[in-house]
Amino acid sequence: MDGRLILAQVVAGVATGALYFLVASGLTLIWGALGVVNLAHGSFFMLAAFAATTLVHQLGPGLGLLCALVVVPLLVLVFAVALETTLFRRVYVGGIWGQLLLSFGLLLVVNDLVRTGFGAVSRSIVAPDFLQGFVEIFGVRLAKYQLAILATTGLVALYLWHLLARSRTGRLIRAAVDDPAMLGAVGVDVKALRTRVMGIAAVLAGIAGVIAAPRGAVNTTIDVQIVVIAFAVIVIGGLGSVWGALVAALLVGIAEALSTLVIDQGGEVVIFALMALVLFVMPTGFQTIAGRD
Amino acid sequence: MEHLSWRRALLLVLLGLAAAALVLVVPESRLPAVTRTVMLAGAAMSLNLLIGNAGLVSMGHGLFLGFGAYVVAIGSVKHGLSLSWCIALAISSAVVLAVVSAIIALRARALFFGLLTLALSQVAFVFVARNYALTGGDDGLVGINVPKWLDSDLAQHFVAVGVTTAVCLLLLMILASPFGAILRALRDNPERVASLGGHPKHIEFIAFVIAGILAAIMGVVAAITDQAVEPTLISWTTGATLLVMVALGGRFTFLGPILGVVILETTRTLVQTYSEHSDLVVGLLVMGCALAFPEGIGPSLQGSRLGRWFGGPVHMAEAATPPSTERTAAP
Amino acid sequence: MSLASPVLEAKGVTKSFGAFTAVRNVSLAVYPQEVVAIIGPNGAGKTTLFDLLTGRKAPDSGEVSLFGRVVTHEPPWRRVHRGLGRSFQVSSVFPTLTALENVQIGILLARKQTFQLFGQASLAHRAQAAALLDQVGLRDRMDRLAGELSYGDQRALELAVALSSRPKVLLLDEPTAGMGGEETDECLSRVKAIAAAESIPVLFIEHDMSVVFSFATRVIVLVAGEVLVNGAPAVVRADERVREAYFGESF
Repeated sequence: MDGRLILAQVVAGVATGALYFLVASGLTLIWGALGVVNLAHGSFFMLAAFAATTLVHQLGPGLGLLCALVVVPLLVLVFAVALETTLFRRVYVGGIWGQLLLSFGLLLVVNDLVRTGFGAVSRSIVAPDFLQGFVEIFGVRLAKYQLAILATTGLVALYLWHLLARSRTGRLIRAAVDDPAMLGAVGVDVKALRTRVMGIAAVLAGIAGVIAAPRGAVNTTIDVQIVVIAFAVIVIGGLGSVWGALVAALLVGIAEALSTLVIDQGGEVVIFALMALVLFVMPTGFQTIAGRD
Repeated sequence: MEHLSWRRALLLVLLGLAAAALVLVVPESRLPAVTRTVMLAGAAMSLNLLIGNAGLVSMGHGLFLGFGAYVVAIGSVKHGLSLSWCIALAISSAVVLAVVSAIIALRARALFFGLLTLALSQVAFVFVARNYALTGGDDGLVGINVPKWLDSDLAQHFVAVGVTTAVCLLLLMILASPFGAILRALRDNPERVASLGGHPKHIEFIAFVIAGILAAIMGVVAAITDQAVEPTLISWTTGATLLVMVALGGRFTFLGPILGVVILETTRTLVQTYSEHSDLVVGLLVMGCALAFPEGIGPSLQGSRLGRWFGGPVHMAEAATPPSTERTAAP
Repeated sequence: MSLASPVLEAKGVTKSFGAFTAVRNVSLAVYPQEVVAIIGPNGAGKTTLFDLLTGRKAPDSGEVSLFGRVVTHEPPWRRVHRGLGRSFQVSSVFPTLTALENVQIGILLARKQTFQLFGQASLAHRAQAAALLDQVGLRDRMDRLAGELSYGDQRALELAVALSSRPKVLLLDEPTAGMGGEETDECLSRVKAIAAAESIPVLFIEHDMSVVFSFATRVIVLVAGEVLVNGAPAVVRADERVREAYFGESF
């Protein structure tokens, strides 16, 4: 097999993995740190993708996408914070079951509303002119848009690192991952922290949705698709570990991309097979979180 | 502990007869939807052996449902086997599948267990959806041959009711047995069970295998009653929907899963005939239940006479002390 | 006593968690008819030692034997079937089952009826379970949920459940922890009576010194994971090192 083809696939896989990372990192934080299981996390991604296609249709590929990148994550943020403060907040006390029911219901509702609002037809948009086509680096043909995804994700990851390592919120999140019961005991406003983390997670998913839009068909099945993959990434990477999620997302993305060289369709199967394999060998994922199973 | 009494067994039979008698009131065109509800009720009951009784939150129960259905469909459509052969093949191979997936899934604990079952069902789903030669791919398989006596909506409805009732009776028997009692104890405190001479993994293994086989049997029913199969049956959507139905009805009440299935399926099919927004209505309903009854509707009926019919001796204390599998819940 | 062979024996067991050695080269033996107390300051490794004896944890080195058979790496459930019963420091009954059901579960497990899929558990071994509850003074509360019993009653239930497997040696982890004076006396006289009646040797961890010396036939002092003294209560009480290491701070 052609080495350069494989290399190109690896880069494509890394770009896909970057998108998975953006969605999974937020989910792993709200789950791992705050014990919130949000099955509707993929709905933020889907909403953002549809909103981006609308803006691009209105304003054209270049300006539309740029606008979307700024405006859409903010809209998703508002939506998520509204949901958290009005609905999610009410079911935390009941443990995981209320959350499962609520977020599953939400998944159905948002899906139905998107189908009504944006239409059930699959949409596709083109990337801005200057991001179309390929560049050749060391003889490997790489799609410009993939590189743009990598750059954007890199910036977001850097910001996330800064947030987790340097800010007070980050310290609280890390403390919560280590010992969820401790936070409330030492007087941290867990309520506000949950809202904040849910907001951050939604913004990450929103950014992912926008930059994913020009890559493929935007339709009403991507919410479930992405959230299931995100769960796979989280589990492989270890619950609550953002950097574990990064490694896992890249691994999953590359494995999926490489599998297309061997099998025609269904790269997803590789993701779940990988997840099953990792969990079989390491039942708590790559990063074992102390005191939890 | 569940109590096995003639009264409760009789109640299940009466419930089955009532479900069968629905053919008298339901318009003919609606009967297949009712039959499907009955089939899902059996599947949800089998799932609750794991969720409510063993504390194993499986998200991939669709795997077994779909597997049972697909073995029948492939046997009948692709190889022209008679229905009884197909059924025998489906159940015996389901035993193997249940054993293998139990060995894999039970390596992980708590929600990781759930996600591992989800991964297994997704692997099977993608395999089925892409493999056109064997499974018909996305289109599924149509034209499952059934004997003449089974070739009517009425007969198929009776079969679904009969099998579901039998599954419920069997589950009641299992839950009342020493195994069922120990399963409950295991959900409360696995470590204590081990210190009293029980092997937690072995007990969970048997529960998983039983639940898997029963779900596969319901899958066979699905194949017979629809005379067709399609891949979503095997996907995580089915597993998650069943999970939500169990949670909605109340996982700590014996008949709670049936309540959940009836509420969701009835709403869905009714709304579907008038509008295309059944997801919206069902979604809002589920969200409303999450806010009003996070532990399911069943337990809140407990005080009433209806609840005693439904529940059996489920203790309210259970709601207050969630089993140890839910350690990742919000602090 | 020395002629009989030990029912439970540890030979040079060691267990470390990372750099911390919780139990270091501990050897002990429990003989028939004995009531042996393990005492020691907090963090002396008493519960870890129990975990090694019952199979909840495996030692890094050393050997554990039960009725003359090496069981060092056997899981807890298998040791139960060899005749080892234990109670936990933190009360660990099944909270959503009634007191009677708790004991019934214990009996079912001990009789290896775990995988019996027919018959009615709620009717199984009722008389025997009720008799056990009678022994610990819970007969009138047998239909109450275990989770709703008072703390002292839960500990008593714990004892009944530990006895449900008809153990040939009983390990009790702080059976009187958190009890008031009266409750403590009651609990101990109960354990004493049962141990005598069924002639079950008992190994127990205890904090309360008065308890230890009124109850035990032998005392083992564990300090920093090592056995400091092992002997009759009077001998232990008189030992200088014990005074220094242990009584100095708590007496």
